[in-house]
Amino acid sequence: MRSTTTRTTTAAPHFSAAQAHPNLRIDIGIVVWASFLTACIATMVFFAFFDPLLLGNDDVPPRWLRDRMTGYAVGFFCFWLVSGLASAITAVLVESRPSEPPPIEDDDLK
Amino acid sequence: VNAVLKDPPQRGLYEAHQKVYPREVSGRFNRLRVASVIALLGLFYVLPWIKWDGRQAVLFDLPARKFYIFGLTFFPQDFFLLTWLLIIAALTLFFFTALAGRLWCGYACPQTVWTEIFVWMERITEGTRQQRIKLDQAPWTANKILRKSAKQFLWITFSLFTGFTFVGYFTAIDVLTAELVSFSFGGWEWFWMLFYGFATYGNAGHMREQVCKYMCPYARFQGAMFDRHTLIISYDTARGEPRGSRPRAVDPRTRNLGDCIDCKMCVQVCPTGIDIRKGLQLECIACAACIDACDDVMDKMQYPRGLIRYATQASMDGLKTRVARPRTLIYGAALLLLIAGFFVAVANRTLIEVDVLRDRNALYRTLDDGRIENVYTIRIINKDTKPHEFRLSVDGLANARLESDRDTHTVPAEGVSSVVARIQVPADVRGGRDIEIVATAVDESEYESRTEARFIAPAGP
Repeated sequence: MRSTTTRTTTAAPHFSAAQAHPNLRIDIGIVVWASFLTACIATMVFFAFFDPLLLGNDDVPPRWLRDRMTGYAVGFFCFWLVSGLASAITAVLVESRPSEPPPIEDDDLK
Repeated sequence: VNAVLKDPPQRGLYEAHQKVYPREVSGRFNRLRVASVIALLGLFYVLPWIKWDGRQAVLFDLPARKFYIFGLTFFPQDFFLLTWLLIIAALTLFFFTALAGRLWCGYACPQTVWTEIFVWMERITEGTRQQRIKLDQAPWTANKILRKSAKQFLWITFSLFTGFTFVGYFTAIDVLTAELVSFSFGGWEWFWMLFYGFATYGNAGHMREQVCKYMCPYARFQGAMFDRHTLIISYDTARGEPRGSRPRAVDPRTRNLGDCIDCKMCVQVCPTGIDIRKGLQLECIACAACIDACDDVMDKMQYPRGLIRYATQASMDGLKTRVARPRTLIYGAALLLLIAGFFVAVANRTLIEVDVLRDRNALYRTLDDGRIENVYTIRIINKDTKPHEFRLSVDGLANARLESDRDTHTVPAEGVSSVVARIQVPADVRGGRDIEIVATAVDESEYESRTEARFIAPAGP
């Protein structure tokens, strides 16, 4: 089993791949899964209000989008891409967050 | 409830994952779960084949943007009903969680239900828990290959059938069957069938308890609905400890032992591989398999049942359990209100709706005789199972006239008609005005639907 990360406060922050992402596989899994759930909800809500065939300019859909099922699927994967991107950035920012500076103590006031 | 994690999970648990071999169990809670599995999976697999008024009773026709649920037809405009239904479902989950813990996880969650059937298929091909562990450790003999491929065959066939049934909720299952026979599925039908089939195979066959542990959001926040009066799976520490083995004939008290004989049956049957004797844990999906296993052992030892049982923390502490408490009363009242409201809303659903879109090109147009004209596209939506004929008119603006290419407009059953309408007002009208566009059925149905719109005239004094 791999060792868990410990944040050191003495050394300058350094982000080696193994230390910054000790659980890369599971983290990717969580990002993919969470964004999948969000994309499902977004697709449902979005296409409840908008008909994919009426989204093009002047109500004429592009040639590759002539049936609704393609429209739904393209919409779903676009939502998944966007929510996945947001999840991934969140994960990276949370995982690589540097530690807070130490609290001000009595010694600092001398 | 303060659930203490005696063994905090390591972050790297997924990689070092220990395969769980749940032991077969029998007893009243297992019978309850099997009954639930049969009922729920039966519902899932049978429902698409049921007919209602000559068509599939439950069909979510996405290409046509119509949902058929028994006698009712729903349009995208009814989306708020679906939202409402989801809120009811969520609140029901909260209510039962506050009352009796993770009932959903133990008996009704698709993950549990499908895992149960996949484990059953594993059992009939690979044998009991001990046989499965031995088989996995054994070298690849003909017997092992035969058993493993038999399991895979059952799993994959069942997964594909599951995917097929799933798509059958969206494409009429008669059509789908005909396509299956002639092997002519459409692209998206293939895609979603394989997608859902693969998800079933992966989640119920391989991931199993890891879905509950790592993927399920409900598992992470369900603890917030718990309190001291929530029914949970509890090990009676006071009665069980100190645990230890002993001959059947010996009175445990003479050896300073509690009722737990430390046979570890409760651990072996656990589908998530935890030891309930360590107390309530996040991983516990409240399937009650450990209760059944322990009751069985207690019977054999001729001890009273219930060393592991459904109990509240209050009752374990010798206090009275309160079912009616602010939390359950509030959840319950809100639930009743929402359910009642839902049925009222469905019963009073308007079968006719009118959507109005203003012409995008011009705000207004001045006619030769000075009158002012606005152009609209009016969509009349008929959710009824019969066609209707409508006359359009305008309300809310004196001397306004509505003109279109036809006098009346026929909208087919469960259909939509688009009408380009010109609304004309006298020349002296100024500024923006609120109007109402009215569709009145000219047949005996007496349907009428009104929609607000905006009329724009030149600004002025």
